[in-house]
Amino acid sequence: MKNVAKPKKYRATEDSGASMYVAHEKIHAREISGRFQTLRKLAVFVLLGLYYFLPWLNWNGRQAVLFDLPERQFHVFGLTFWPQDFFFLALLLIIAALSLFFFTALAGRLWCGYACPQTVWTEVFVWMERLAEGKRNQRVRLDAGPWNREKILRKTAKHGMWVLFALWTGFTFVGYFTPIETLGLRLLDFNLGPWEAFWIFFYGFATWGNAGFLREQVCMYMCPYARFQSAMFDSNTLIIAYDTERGEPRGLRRKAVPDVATREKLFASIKVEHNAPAEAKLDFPPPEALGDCVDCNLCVQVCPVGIDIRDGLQYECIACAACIDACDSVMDKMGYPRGLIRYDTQNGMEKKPSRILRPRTLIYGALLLALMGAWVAGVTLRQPVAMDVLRDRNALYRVVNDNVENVYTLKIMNKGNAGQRYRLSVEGIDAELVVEREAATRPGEVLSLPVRIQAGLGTVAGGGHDIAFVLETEDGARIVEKSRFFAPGEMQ
Amino acid sequence: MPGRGDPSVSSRTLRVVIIAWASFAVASIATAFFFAAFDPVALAEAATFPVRLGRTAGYTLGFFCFWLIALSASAFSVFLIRSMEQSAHRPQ
Repeated sequence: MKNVAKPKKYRATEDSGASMYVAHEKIHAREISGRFQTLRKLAVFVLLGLYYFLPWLNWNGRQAVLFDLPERQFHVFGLTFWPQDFFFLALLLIIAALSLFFFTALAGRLWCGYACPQTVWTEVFVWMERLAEGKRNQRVRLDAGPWNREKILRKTAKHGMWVLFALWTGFTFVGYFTPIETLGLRLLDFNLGPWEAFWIFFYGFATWGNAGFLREQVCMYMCPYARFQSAMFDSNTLIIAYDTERGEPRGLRRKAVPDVATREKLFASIKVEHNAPAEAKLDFPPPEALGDCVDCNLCVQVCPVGIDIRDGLQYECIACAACIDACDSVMDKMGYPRGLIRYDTQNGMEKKPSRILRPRTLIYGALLLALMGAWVAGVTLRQPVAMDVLRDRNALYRVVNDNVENVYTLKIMNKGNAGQRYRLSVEGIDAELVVEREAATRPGEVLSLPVRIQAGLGTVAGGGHDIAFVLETEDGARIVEKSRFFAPGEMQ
Repeated sequence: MPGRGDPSVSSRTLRVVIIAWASFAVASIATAFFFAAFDPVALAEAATFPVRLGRTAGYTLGFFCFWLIALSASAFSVFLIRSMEQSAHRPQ
């Protein structure tokens, strides 16, 4: 098949007045291998491998990563997080967002090309499509052709693989929230809870739709990051770019024509040696008449979002580097140096020095390090127990049998993995602490403990006193919470 | 499902998908924050009418309530903006 320019993939719909949307036609990306595609495959294996494997990993006799929603506790290896630790999750999300900013400023849309679940799952779905329907040309022919036996068989095979994989994905997803081993047993027993079954199908359906059908449309119409990532870009950010100066004017040529740099040298040496017009001696077009782009259109055919990188950087580009690999393979065949399309910065393209260390990366980096430090410190220094003191709102004090009495409710929260018993005492006043029931908690329990402080009527001065409750655990943790004690004035 | 070389996918479908997706994202975050603070079982006990609800059912119900609320707000916003733009485009 001759390489002809691909027809324009998008065309405006009738109501182009208020809409930016253009009718979608399926993109049949051509398969390509190369350095960056190998890296991307590696990323797919590592990330999806982690996703599908992690829930099956056990740690201290328990699923290592389990966001146990029914029990309201998150296990991440040895750590346990309670709803009260939600702050750490929020901080983690902020750290994730900030690292996205940091890596975007440094190296552009690395996230989109290598790590985004949308890209990663799409990649797997495209492999399955290729397995069932063949290479690009076969797929184009199959889609255009009539519904014959072969088409039905191939499409059924593809959808069969897709549906199975999507369901397994949904099952794994639910396995992060409810212990996966028993979930698997119940699945084999056809004995799933209705909500578990619902979420398996829901997540499976989302995977199937996003990775099988929507694909690059998710990036173009649904992804907020694709819209604002350019705000993190500057002229020192690594982007995928076509070297216009070297490549243009593009055109087909005989295979013997050397690259621009070589031709420049040849033409210059002939001019110097013979002082004659170069064209007379050499059978090649001069460098200014023909650049290094052979106009094979391979970079367009491999693009999963269907753009032409030679038109400049476009927001649809997910930086998958397929065009780099495609172009490098052509450059190799021609005997030209690689890198006509390459990872480079805008400064690099303009032959200016690129800087990695610059205010933007330094500020993002410093913030990121500070937050990560705070998170690690916060998690490691977490007290296994927390206490709040609430004074009885109804009365400042009451007098019972020559004693003045204040009533409090202590909220004691056990954030550890074991049951706890506590010793309670009060400081700052000469009085007796009456604890209503046993101060012990199960892991994760929030205990509401009513306590009373009693002092002899004559022994405390009237008015308010600063006191402190002291809570000691059996393993030596000590928590002090301040409060107030009120006694009647002199007149009573 | 849009795609598959189907040229009939309209900007209306796209609007619906965007409204559904944006409110889905917001509902997910709202659900996480809300249920970090409140236990659905405790909420069911505190309800003014008898409710029998497990935790998983509670989370799911809560998520869909948030989605429905966000969906309404999102759709209402789009409706207001679109009707404003349409009347602006109308010839005087």
